[in-house]
Amino acid sequence: MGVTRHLGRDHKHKRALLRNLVTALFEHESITTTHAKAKETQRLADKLISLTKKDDVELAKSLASSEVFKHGETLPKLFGELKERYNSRVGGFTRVLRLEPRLGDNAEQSIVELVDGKREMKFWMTARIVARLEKQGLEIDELTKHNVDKLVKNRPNGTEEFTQLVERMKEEFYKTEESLESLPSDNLRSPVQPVLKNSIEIVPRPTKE
Amino acid sequence: MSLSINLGKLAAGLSFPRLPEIRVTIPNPFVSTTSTSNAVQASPDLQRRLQEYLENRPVEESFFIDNGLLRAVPKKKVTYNRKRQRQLKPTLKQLPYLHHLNRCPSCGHTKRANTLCMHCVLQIKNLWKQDSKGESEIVEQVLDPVDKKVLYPGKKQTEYEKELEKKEYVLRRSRSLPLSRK
Repeated sequence: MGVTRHLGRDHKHKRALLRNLVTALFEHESITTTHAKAKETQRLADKLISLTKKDDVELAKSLASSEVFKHGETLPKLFGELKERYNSRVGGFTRVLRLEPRLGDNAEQSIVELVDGKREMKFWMTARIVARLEKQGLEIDELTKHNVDKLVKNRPNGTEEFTQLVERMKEEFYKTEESLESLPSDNLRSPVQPVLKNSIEIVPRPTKE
Repeated sequence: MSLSINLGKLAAGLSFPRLPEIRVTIPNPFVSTTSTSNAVQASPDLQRRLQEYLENRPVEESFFIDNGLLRAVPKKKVTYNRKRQRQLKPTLKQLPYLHHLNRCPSCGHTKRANTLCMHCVLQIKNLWKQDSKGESEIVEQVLDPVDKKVLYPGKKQTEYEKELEKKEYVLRRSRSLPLSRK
């Protein structure tokens, strides 16, 4: 295990903070905090979700209950909805996206979100990009395609939901001709060719024997 | 006999105590001109030029200029060496250049590399807010302006309160520039 951040508090204070953050994350599925707090929250949330995969459910529940608040709402969601959602995943249940620094104190901000959740920022942003490309009549570039495939893959009714969202994005943001003016006219191509990790297969951890 | 008028004071119309700029003697119209022979008179050409200057002064004169009061100033000139040392020392006083800039793939404006475009993020968050409004059935009731006047008569907002309602004290993020300027 790597060294954790202290976050400028003593141990108890830090633990209470992370408990609060994780509870909020499970409740809202996406939260915005500073980057350091986001990374610590991600770590704890990933641990808690992988706890749900244990065979001894009672033990797992008792362990999890000491890491979250609002037991009446959080625990049923964690061991019901979230357990089911991440059945096919080995890890990587959360995602951290960097944002612009905060106004006022210029602290680094980030979004922590549950993958395949109802408020997945990456899903919505990618839908917006695809909507823009379709509206302009451009071909969808390789990186975006790759991103779309990854986002849709494990989500139930993923492709349907994505196409619906793309249509909504067209309505919301690219309806008028003025909105299309300042957009990039050709495909966004970075000078470096992105290396796509399609070919790499995730090998599950060996079980203890 | 002569009547001396502080022209600078007249032109500015100020009641502040100030030192006279220039004193010009103007002949008193009620006394015969012969009696002003002793007074020192400015030449008519100079008077006319002065009058013209005072009337068409480009900027209204500040109270702080030439009023006889001295204000705080640095004791010594900061040398070139000191100034450059202060400006070029490796601290965070200087604004760093941003080289890691990108283009937002959804709106086309400039953004930092490896971060999301804040403008698009906030727009999407607003959509989420709209969606969650439909979920909760509690609708906040807003009073009709006529009813409000009947129920709460005589409430008068001060200028200060009106200013506060605009919420100009809240920091707002300005949008980044588009990549191609027209």
